[in-house]
Amino acid sequence: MSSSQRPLPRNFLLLFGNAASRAFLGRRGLVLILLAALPAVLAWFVVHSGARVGMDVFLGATLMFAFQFIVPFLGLLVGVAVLGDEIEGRTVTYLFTRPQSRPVVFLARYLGFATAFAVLVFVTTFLAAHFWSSGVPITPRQVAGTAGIAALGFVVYAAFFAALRMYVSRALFVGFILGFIFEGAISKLPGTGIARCSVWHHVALLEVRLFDPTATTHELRELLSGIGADETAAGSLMTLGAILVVSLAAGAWRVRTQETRLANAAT
Amino acid sequence: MIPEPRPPAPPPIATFEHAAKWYGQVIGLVDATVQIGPGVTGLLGPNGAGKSTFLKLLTGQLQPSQGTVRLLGADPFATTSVHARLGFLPEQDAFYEDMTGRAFVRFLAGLQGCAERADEALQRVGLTEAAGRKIRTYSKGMRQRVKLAQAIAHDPQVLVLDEPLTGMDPVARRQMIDLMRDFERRGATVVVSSHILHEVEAMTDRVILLYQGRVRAVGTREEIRGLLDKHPHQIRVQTSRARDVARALLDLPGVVGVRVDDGSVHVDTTDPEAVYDRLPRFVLEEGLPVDGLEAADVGLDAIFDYLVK
Repeated sequence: MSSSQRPLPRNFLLLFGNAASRAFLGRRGLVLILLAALPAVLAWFVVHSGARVGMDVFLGATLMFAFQFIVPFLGLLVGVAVLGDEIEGRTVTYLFTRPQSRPVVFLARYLGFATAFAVLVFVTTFLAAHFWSSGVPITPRQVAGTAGIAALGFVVYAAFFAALRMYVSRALFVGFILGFIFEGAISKLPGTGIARCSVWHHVALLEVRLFDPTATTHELRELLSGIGADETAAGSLMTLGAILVVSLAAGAWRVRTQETRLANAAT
Repeated sequence: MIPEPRPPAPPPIATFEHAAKWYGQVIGLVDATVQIGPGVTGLLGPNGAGKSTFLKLLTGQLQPSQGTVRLLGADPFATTSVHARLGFLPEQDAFYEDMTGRAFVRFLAGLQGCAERADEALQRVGLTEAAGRKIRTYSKGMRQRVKLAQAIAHDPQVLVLDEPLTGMDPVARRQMIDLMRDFERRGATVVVSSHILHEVEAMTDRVILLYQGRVRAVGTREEIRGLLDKHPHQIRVQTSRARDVARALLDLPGVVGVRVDDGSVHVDTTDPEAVYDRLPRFVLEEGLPVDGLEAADVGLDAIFDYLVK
């Protein structure tokens, strides 16, 4: 081995860099960029259309459109591509016959993709919130906070769907059911506490606490009737962190113990 | 004078002990027990024989459903450190198409800790001039070469090549075979698969024959041929006077059977060279018309059929 660098950090960095630098390539990359840009485009058009923009419009666009649709959709598309790209492209063979464990490939590629797209989500959400701020009283801290919450929600969704891809071959379909139909349904169940099982619930809670710690505005109560007064931002951050770690651990364990079959592989 | 004791045989580089692999109901490999030592070993079998499964087990991409596989003394699926001494050329035509050949080899050589050797590897496979081009612009032969470059960049102790000559022109084939021989000279182990008999013959004397997921024969080329030569070869002679030709062919040495079938004669012979040598002369002397002559059982399927009967 001619490199003086230790194999594990060296290979982790190489795989991370490869994934991050290739994240936006191709038609899929373009679609993901356009998708991530939608909230900013929407905000710009609404604000410049001369329509009355209040806190209800801002929260509706942010929570119901960006956080409940764009962020999970991006998380789904990016998450299933973390190792799915390599498996479907059959290039995973090159990576799995190198001297690093398969979980290292999974984790490094996740971090590469998640970093690249989290920056994109942060920037586009920041722009969206900035555009809204011309019609709604939003502080710079709230603009940056909203962007940070979107990026955090994205990385959690991406980790969950990356792990799901390791267990389910039709992860895009199953992920769509879980991310939109199932999550959407349980996040609307008041009083049972089951809403706390959804990522969106915690992402929305962080946004609520960012804007109105006492949750007093009419719009917030309307939109977020499932959020309990006892729930704190710290609790939601910990829950999202736990989902992230458990998802990555489950994905890494699966890829370590289960062989990866290539599509149309010859026997 | 006491003879010097023979040096002990070198330990095998790879071993399969009753290794089996199945994919649900589909059998990939059944009860394979073989040892592979240094030098070039050919893995020969028709499509679907289990060659790729064998190589994927050997390189740790799959784990056996039953039995054990060892590479350099370790389980290659669980012990990824052995991959530092392994170079693998996969059969599938899979690349990061938007990368240049150089970037592709540099990235993968980098994972072996020797990114700086990428250019040397590209030079060894004759791809220096095209190294700056995107892989998507490469011809089939160039794509094979770049796959080979990523496999040899770190000068592996074990080189596993899955159908490496596919799509290569004769010059590139020669270079590939020379390169394998070079690895062999330096004490490395090369395992190369092919479904074409003469390709394997050009690369090595040592052969593992696979058919329908089973190891049918292991040995030198001569040993394998010995197995095959017990069976008569089939030759088809196309003629408008089939009955007369058949009658005349029965007099040739080695001919054990003749069958007339709609404008052609099928000859079973244990001495096919005698038929090929004498038939033209015999045709001229007897004045019998012969429109075509071909071996009817040179396909590997026929050869393997013989082996399993």
